[in-house]
Amino acid sequence: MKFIKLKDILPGMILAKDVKDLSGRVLLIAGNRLSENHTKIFRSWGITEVCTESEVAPKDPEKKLIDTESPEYKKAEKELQELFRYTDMNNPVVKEMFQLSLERKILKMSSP
Amino acid sequence: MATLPGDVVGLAGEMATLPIIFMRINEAVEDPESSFSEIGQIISSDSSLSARLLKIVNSAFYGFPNKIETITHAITIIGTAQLRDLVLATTVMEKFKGIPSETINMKSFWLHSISCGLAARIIATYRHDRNPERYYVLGVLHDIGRLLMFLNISDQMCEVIETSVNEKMILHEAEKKIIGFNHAEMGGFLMEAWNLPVTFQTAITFSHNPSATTPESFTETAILHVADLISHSMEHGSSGERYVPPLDEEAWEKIGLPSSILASIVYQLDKYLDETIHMFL
Repeated sequence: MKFIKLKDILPGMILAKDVKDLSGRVLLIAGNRLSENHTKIFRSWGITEVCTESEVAPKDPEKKLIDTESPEYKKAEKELQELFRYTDMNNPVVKEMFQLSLERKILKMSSP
Repeated sequence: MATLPGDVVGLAGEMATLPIIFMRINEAVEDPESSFSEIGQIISSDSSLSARLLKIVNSAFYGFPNKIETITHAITIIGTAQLRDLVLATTVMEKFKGIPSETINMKSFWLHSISCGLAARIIATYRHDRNPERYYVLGVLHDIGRLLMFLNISDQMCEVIETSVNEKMILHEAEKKIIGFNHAEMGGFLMEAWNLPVTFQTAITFSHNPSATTPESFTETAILHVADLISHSMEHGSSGERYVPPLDEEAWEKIGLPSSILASIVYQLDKYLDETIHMFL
């Protein structure tokens, strides 16, 4: 039995403990086989981790490679620097937001 | 002669009051003696409102396994105060729907507002807040003051936009410079005119400088502030502002979440935004 994060849940893992929301309402009882749909529902109810029986090691997340030298990257980065000009880029929260925004922007540019 | 927020509310005509149906629902929710079925009856008397609410509670956003067929069922599952806040969000949007405006793109305006509401709701859920819908409605309403200004003092707002473009100035600072008050203060004033709880007034008034808000409303103000920044950073629509406003660090500390959680917030936001827009607009 071990606690695992939502993002590490693999379909087919078996729930070892009831999952409850903050008010104690049971969302799913122990013994159920987890599916992607369950993870989705847990997420919308603010559940961050669950207890499972299986010891399946989660797969390494596929790392997306972003070419930081490409003209698209430079263009997106420049646009966002303008958008963020009034923020403190040394602040870790702002930095994280900038990075997330940049990744989304590049993904959008590369998908038709 | 200087314009005051009260003058703008005065110009707003029927915008200056909330629909009767909301008032009745609100009274019933606040009355400890009224039952679920009484509240259900009031909501059900407005069939387009009930249809809209059922669509919302049956969306992927809530992820209930079975279909919710009646308003009474919806109340027992999501709660009276929560449903009242959803009613508020839908009725306000209904009220401002179909308004022609040359100065502002309404679709983009609501996209930004809904995105901010969703982000605020997601943050509240992560913090295990009792009523996440309260935050959703705060986000939806947070820029409504600017909408009122665009509609009623459009000449001055054109000057504001010009100044912000020419001088690369943050829009709410340009508002303050040209008009004397900003859209957040205007919004707070409208919340008062609408007789909404004091938290709505303070959270919206201080959404750009949460550290100056009242201690009782600090959590709401801080969450709204951060949600607004997330929505701006992800370029979800626009209420006219062209820059991400500066982050108030105290507000982030108040929320008490690690910065690594932003990735999950943005992931969920991207996932639900389209559907939510279809439900509300």
